[in-house]
Amino acid sequence: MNDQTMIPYRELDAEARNYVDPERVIALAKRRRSAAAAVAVVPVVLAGLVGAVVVLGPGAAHTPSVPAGEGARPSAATEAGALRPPGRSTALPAGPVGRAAYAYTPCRDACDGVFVVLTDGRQFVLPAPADGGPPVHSITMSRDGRWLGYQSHGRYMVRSLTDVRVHAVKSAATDAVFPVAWSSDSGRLLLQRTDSDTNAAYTVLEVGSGLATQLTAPAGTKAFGILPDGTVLFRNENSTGPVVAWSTSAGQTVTIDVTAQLDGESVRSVNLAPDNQSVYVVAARSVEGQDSRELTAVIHADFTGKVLGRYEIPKMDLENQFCDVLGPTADGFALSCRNGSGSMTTLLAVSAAGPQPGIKISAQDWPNHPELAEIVIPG
Amino acid sequence: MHRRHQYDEFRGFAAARGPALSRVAFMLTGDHQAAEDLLQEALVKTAVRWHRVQSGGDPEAYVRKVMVNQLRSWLRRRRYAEIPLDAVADRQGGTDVAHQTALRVTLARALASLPPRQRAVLFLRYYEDLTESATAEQLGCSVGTVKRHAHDALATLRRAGPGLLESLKPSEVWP
Repeated sequence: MNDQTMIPYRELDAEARNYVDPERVIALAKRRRSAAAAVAVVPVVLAGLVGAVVVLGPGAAHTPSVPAGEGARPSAATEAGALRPPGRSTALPAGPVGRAAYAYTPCRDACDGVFVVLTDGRQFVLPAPADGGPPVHSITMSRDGRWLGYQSHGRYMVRSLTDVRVHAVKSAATDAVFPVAWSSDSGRLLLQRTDSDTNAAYTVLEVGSGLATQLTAPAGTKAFGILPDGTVLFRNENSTGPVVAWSTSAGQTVTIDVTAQLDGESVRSVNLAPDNQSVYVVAARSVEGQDSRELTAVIHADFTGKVLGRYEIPKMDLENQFCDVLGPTADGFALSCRNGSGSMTTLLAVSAAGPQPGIKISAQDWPNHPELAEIVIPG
Repeated sequence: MHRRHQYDEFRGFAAARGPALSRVAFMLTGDHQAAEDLLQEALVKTAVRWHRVQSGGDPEAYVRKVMVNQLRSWLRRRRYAEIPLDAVADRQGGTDVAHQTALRVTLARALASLPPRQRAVLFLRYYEDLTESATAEQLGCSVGTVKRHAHDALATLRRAGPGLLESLKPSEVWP
């Protein structure tokens, strides 16, 4: 499109009003400052956090223990699973601190920080560059909670939370690095080195040794999982049909058909289960009149194509509910669901035992757009 | 720096540059409410760090950068309404002001329907006149991604209203 035809676009700025209210901005800034400086007044919600850990535990063999650590305190609000702000904003210190249970940012645009919650309930904020915290989408934790990854000053840092090891993954200047998946044994992290959908390049980091291996996805595919032996799984990035197929970096191909399990839905995503022998297929239905899809069910199928279960995603009494995929848990699947009226984000675990609500980030404790909160779970 | 003095300086900055920053916010969102939210959040962040921002020498550039960064973080969080293809009213004849206004409103709605990253690319490439490389650097992505987002955004605008961009008359004051 030539420059001349973009003139109408540029002139749209004449439609703008003046949105600035300095007094309101200053009032909000003062409140944010005082909140950050407050000394531990609000207790951590122990039961809510423990509930989340139990729901999200990455497997019996790797489930972090949940001791009543020194940073965890009981709270009157535990029954609701409400996640409250930490009493004070403490930066994540260097060195061993303990395993991570999950991470979150409680409102729009990192809300002055991405918080990492340890299995004992203590919360720490990740180091923030001048223009805001690291993108929450760049945060990752190993399934056992021992490793934490995040973007920092153009590099991707993967640090141990239980000892002093730190790995830095560099990339070309125009590339971004984002986590894709951990192996179920927490030994390998699969990273995507560019956010371009074409020619996706990946790095497999062995966190024990620090050894990094580069690989490129076959044309038209994207990686979605990694096995403990380092084998990477690729699938057609645009495929939404009922026949789910993927290939591996070891040359294997797998095809499963979930046609009988779909009810007018399309396949939204495929996620490797922690047993490394099955996948969770997320089904979605188009929302009439909107460029969006509503997640409706999670189908569990093994590599032979045998369907192990279809789990419905329930309505949670949220107005205009909209759910995002978080990933597999020990026995099912986790979602982050929010309402469209701007008051809440709720973690939802779906398994054969039925849906289980986890932590809840609501306007009661987080007034600044809690429906835009983000939660990251291990793995 | 004394806190009251700090906010006095910030207040002056916000009042003076408010209209210009509002235009940026609207171009990044295409929606008045979203623009207000975006700009307010960026200004709050600026106010909290005013001393450091001011010492950087260009607070306005800082606020603009924060707004663009915020768009990136909204990437996965928003739902987008489709724009009805009949939203562009048939021309009843002439190029009167009302018709031009209606077309601009339609263009703004189409802009608001784009995913945040596409809006950010349009803004940086066609409003800020950055090169593809500079746009990619600001957004932390590859040049190929910038090209793809620009292509997709313009395709969406064309679908929303065939000839929409071309049908608007250039302003007489545009250089």
